[in-house]
Amino acid sequence: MTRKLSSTTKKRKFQQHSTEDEQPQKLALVEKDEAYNKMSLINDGMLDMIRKADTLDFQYYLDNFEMVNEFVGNVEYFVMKFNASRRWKIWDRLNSDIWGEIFSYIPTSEMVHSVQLVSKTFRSNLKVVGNLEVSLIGLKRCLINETRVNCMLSYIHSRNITRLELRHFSGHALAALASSRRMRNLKSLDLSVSEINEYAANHFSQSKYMKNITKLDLDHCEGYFSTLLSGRATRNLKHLKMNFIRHYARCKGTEKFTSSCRKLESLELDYCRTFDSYLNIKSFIQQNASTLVRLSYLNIPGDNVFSVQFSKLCSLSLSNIVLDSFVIESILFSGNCPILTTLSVRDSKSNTASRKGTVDSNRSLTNLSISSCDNFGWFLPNCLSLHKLSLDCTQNELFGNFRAALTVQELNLNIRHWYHEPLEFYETLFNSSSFNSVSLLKCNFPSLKYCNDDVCKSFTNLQKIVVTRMLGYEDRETLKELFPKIDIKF
Amino acid sequence: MSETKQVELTSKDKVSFKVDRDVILMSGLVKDMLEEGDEDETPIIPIPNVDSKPLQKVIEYCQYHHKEPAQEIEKPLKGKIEDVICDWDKKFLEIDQSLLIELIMAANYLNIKDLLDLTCAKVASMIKGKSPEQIREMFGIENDFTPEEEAKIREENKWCEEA
Repeated sequence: MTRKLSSTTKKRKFQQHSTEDEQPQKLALVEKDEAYNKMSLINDGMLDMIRKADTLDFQYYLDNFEMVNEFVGNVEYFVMKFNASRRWKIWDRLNSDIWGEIFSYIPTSEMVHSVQLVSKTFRSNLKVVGNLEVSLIGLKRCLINETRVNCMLSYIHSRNITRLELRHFSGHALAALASSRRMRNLKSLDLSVSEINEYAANHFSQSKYMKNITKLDLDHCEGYFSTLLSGRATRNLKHLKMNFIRHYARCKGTEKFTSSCRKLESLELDYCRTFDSYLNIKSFIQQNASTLVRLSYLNIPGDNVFSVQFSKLCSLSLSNIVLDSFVIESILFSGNCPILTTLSVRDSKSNTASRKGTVDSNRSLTNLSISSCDNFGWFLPNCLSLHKLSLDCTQNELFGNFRAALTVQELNLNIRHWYHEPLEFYETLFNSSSFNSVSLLKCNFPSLKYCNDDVCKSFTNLQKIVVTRMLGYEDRETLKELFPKIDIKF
Repeated sequence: MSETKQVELTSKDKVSFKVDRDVILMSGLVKDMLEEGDEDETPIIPIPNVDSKPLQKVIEYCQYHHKEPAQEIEKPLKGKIEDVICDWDKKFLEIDQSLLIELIMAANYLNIKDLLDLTCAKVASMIKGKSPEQIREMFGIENDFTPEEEAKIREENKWCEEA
């Protein structure tokens, strides 16, 4: 909207401004004079009427109160209309580009059902909305069909649809969408829980209007992924989500899909329960190694990915792996992921027996998140740049894993299931020197009532506590006594 | 120690404001003009489309945000604008409607993207959640649709209704 003009153009425009403005200004003055003269006439008439009214007996008005009410009503109506038009007069100074910018902050459904019904001007301003995000949410038993998509494409008053969120979409509806010129500016397409049949996949992959898509979400989808992802529509794809896929078996050739997605930067293939059964992950990694090596974000189940060097990977999310020394060493200490800053691990098991010898140190990892895993603590002292540590685990898992993480400044603890005596746990947490450098502690503080009144000796650099669940009065007071000088946010 | 370079802005109603050059460089228009102009001690830049009152607010905004960059406001707004902006911006937006409009126009003219985003989002927040009648009432707009036209639009909008 704020079009970039060259400075010379701007200057020229600025110099011309005064001469160009003269004509409309003259016209505006004439209109103003005319309006002023009309209002003067009305005003004179009113004064004359008041003078005449003064000469009449008050009883006359009481006898003709209907006429008086009608007169007052007319004046009130005029004043109301006048005030409204005065209000709009100041808003009317905003041009359609600015209204377009304003409307871009309003959700599409409100634009369609409310804003465009305000007036013809408002409706026409819809055309200049820069980024239109449309959501069409169907039902499992009532998919969004072709007719509804065609209806949307016929009536939507913008060619600037940049993001489409389509749930429970039928294959024919997707095909209709892929054939529309209005998709030329589409950058993000969310097709979660949709049906990708062969017809839709063919239309999509060959669409000449979908080539600007950089983000595609296929979570919970079923169908012809290999066809869908192999055409020109995915050439500029940077972010691909394919989580919760249950039937890779139906998607023959999926192993090779990334050959057409040459610009892929992030890939998610998580929560796929049957992933390993249907899509051989080792084969997948080997066949797509040239693409995967460019990834900056990867979310994948299993532990078969570590034979590949991910030179650009900044963020890695793993699940259902055996968190043993081989895995951790491959990720953190082997040099396979030299710039990895964020590691997230969940639902994984440990294999302590396999840990042998000493490990090197890692200086790239700053953010570590571990959820529902045990035996994660042994490598913490070797992560020398770790800044943020998030642990979502049982007391049991946490209890056995206190290790010094001397560089951690932000510690997020979410403790579940109390198997041990809480008092013992809190004594360990508050009196260990494991987290001496922590300045921000976020914790759910379960069973705080069991904690004794001793002031916490650990957390010597602590500045702020954020309590991540609702605490009762007694727990609040206990926490204040434990940390008398700390800023606590409940 | 070298003194901070200043720029003099002259508003439409001929009021002058001296501002640090670094501060007013947030304005794309002023930045372009300064790049083209001579290295004067204190260049005078006329801002013929902006009155002194909105210009003063613009300067106030730039003085705060040239050191504290504004956070991008997500489109579309999920809730009220007050939920996504900082306390300073909330206070800054406590102005009447006519000044808000002047500010939008000033931000647009001076090419200050963050201020334009903030003020536009404020107006959007005023519109959000309101019915067509309430919006008409707020802006003083007359309904120029005939009942038939209105019914036709409502019919067309059915594609957007949630299942």
